[in-house]
Amino acid sequence: MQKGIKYEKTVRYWIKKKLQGLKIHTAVMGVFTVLILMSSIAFFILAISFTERSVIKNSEEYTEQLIQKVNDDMDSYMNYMKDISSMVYSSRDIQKYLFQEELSKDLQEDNYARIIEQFRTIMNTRKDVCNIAVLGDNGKSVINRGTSALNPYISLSEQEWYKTVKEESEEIHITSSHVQNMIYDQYDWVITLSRGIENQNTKEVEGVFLIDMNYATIDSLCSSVSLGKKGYIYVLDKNGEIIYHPQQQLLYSGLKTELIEEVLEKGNNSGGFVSGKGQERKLYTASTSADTGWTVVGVAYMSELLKEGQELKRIYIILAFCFFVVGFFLALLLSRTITKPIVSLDAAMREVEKGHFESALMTEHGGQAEIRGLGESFHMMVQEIQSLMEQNVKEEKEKRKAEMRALQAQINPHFLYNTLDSIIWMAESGKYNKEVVRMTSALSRLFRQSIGNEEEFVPIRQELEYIETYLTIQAMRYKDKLSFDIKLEEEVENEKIAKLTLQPLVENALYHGIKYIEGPGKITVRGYYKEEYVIIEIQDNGKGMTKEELQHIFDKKIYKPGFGGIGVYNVQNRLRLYYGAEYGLFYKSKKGVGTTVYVKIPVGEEAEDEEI
Amino acid sequence: MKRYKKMEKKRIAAALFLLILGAALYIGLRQEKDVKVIFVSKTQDNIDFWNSLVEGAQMAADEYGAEYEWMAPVQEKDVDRQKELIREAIEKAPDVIALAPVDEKEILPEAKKIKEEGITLVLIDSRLSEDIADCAVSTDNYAAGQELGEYALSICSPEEKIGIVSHVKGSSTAKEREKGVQMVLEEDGREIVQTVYGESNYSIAYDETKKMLEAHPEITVIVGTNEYATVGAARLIKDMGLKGKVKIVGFDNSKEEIQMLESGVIEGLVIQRAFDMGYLGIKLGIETEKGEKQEANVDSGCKLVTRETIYTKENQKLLFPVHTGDD
Repeated sequence: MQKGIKYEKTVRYWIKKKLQGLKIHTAVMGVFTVLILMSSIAFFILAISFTERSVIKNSEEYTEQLIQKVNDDMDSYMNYMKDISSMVYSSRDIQKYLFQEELSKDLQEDNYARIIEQFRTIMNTRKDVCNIAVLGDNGKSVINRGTSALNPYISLSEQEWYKTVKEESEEIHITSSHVQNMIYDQYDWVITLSRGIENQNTKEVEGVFLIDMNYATIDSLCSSVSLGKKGYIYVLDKNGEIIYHPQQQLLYSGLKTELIEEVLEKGNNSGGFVSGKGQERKLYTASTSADTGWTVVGVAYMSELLKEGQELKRIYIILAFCFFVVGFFLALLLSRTITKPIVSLDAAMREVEKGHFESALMTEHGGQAEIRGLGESFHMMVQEIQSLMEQNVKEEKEKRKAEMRALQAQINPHFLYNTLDSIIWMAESGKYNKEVVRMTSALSRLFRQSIGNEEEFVPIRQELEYIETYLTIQAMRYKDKLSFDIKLEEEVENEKIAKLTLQPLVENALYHGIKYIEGPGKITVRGYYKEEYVIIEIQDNGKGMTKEELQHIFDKKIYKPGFGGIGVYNVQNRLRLYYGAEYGLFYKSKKGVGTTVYVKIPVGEEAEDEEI
Repeated sequence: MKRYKKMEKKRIAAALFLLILGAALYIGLRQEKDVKVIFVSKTQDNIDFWNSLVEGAQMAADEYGAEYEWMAPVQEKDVDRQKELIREAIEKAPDVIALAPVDEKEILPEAKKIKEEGITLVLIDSRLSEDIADCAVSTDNYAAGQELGEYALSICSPEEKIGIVSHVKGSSTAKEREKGVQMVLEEDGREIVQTVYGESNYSIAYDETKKMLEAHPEITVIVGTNEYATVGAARLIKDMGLKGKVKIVGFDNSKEEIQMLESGVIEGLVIQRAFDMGYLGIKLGIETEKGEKQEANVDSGCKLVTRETIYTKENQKLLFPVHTGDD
């Protein structure tokens, strides 16, 4: 059990891994290609084997019939020979000639002449009779046309066939093919049909009749049937010895072998079988004669039978190949169509990864229903993300603004209690009633202005009022040391500005500039248009800054806890947050002369802060 | 950009595949053209040996479906005529020429011309003095000679004298067979009294044998190296009534020789497998031409036959060639 699971895991796992490693397109193409290839090959193989089988079947039937016919012809041939032998055997003339020795010479000669006449007729009419003879034990013989003699060097009685024939007189014996050496000067390959001749008087077999058949007829019988250009027929006797074969000599030399055993086993009247391979593949059909026991075997070459098949094979190959090619390109097209939308979706996602929301949203999503669904969901998702991100950014901005606002709203505690001290001192002295009222109401005004407004943006006029209030208080405290002047171009006062941005600058001008000079301090505030900007100028004649100090003016560390003030850094941040990077504070300063800060804001803008 | 490259690669691969398949189809289904073979043998004489050999050659040619032609001089000793025929054969531009050279030295230049034309040369029956042929099929004549010698020794006593009737002096078959006989006799300490040459002609062999016996009446064993020699000598012995007194051991198996063997004029025959030789020769030539690896030298074999063994199943088949299709 354990082993089985492991194997599965390995094979399936491996396949999965391999497939996963590929792109969709390649994987789909690969699978399609394999499928199409397999089916093309399967088609081809099936077609070929089917064709081959039907050709073989047809050929088998055809050759069976042919062989049967040849067999029947052989049988009638043999029967004819047997008839002749019967005729001869029962001939009175022969009996008389062979065994009636007491007859006169003349009568004997007559007999002889008649017999010879018979023989001559037979030999003349049938070219396949090689020898025909009757031979008596007593040495009397009639042979062929009367001109042939026996071979003096061969002892007839020692020949196998002779001995066999003598033993059974009723039987007709047919030998296998052999060389007939009986006749002088003749050594032919024949098949001998022989029979013992019984002496009617003694009832003993005292003679032999024989007919030698050469191959002429068998040859013509076998070649009358055509089994293709290379096909042939051969004949075996009941012992499997070859009676006739078109390449007999080669078989005798051992240069060739022919299937004999297999044929006798399988072939017999039971359909054919195929043997051999390649060019030598042959179809064997056999038919055995009940009479002679001979087997006629037909051999046809498969390559010839299947010649049509060759053509067909070529056609099949071309078909299968076309089929494969067409299928391949269709598969290509199909997989393209399916995978393209997926790939484009993938590309869109990568764009989103990089943050290019717009291009991701612009991608069209086509393809199958499921893919389109994916695409649409993706689209919505990207939009959602986009808006969420924007919202996030907004919220962050808001938070920071709120922070800054909160900070900004803090009034410098030092300023507060110093002012209160001043008020107390003046009130205690009793002489400065008017000043006390003025300072107190200015302070109250200051608070009201700073806390009061919910609006993020206020008209510059309002902001300047705030500065004025602040400066009024400071001026009262520092008496002659401080004077200020505020002047605006006409329309500028209606422009909006982020609130509580100017006061810290003025505060700075005082505590970092004017505070450190001997003589009277002057703060001048101007407001005007410049191109598309609104500029608020705050100039002081304080100690000024060195180039170094100027460089570090926006550093965070100016946020000194001691002062509790916001610092220029924060104002800059706020302005930039509200308006953008090109706006904000710009400083000009000369050591010992003074400092001017330019507040640059856009015209008619209220930044991205529209409270609903 | 990468994607386009991949598409290109795929297209090229597909085109290549198509090309290869087309080529394979073409090669596989193209018809093989027929081989052209010309066989130049030694003689047109109607003797069994050559008849069988030529029949064997024809059978091989038929089997391979080759375009086949046979030509030969009328007489075996007509060297010039064979040379002429070889030149004619070369003109016809065959793929294979099968050759049975009548003289191993004289025919050599013509044989070289065959090779120069790039035609496959297969030697049948006899050799050349130089080894320039692609392959050869023949009886191992040296071994055959040995068989002759050994049988000759076995049928006579140590004192008896032996003479040889050979055939064409310059032919490799004659030389080798003589050598084989000599070898065996020398080992036994015997000498060959005389060797005469029958020129592969019955009458010449007859006359030469007569001369030999007249010059050396002590000879009681004659060894014939081919059919003409054997038959010539046998006819003489028969005519002179010397059957039984002078024993003959001969070569090849014509009908006459077999009859002589049956009747006792000849004691034994060493026979070649003529049919096989012809068949194998043409077969080997065609196969070598096609480039199929084959043995370069094939021995078609020989066998000794005596009176008792003529009609054994095996010898019947050797001695009496089957003629299917004609008679």
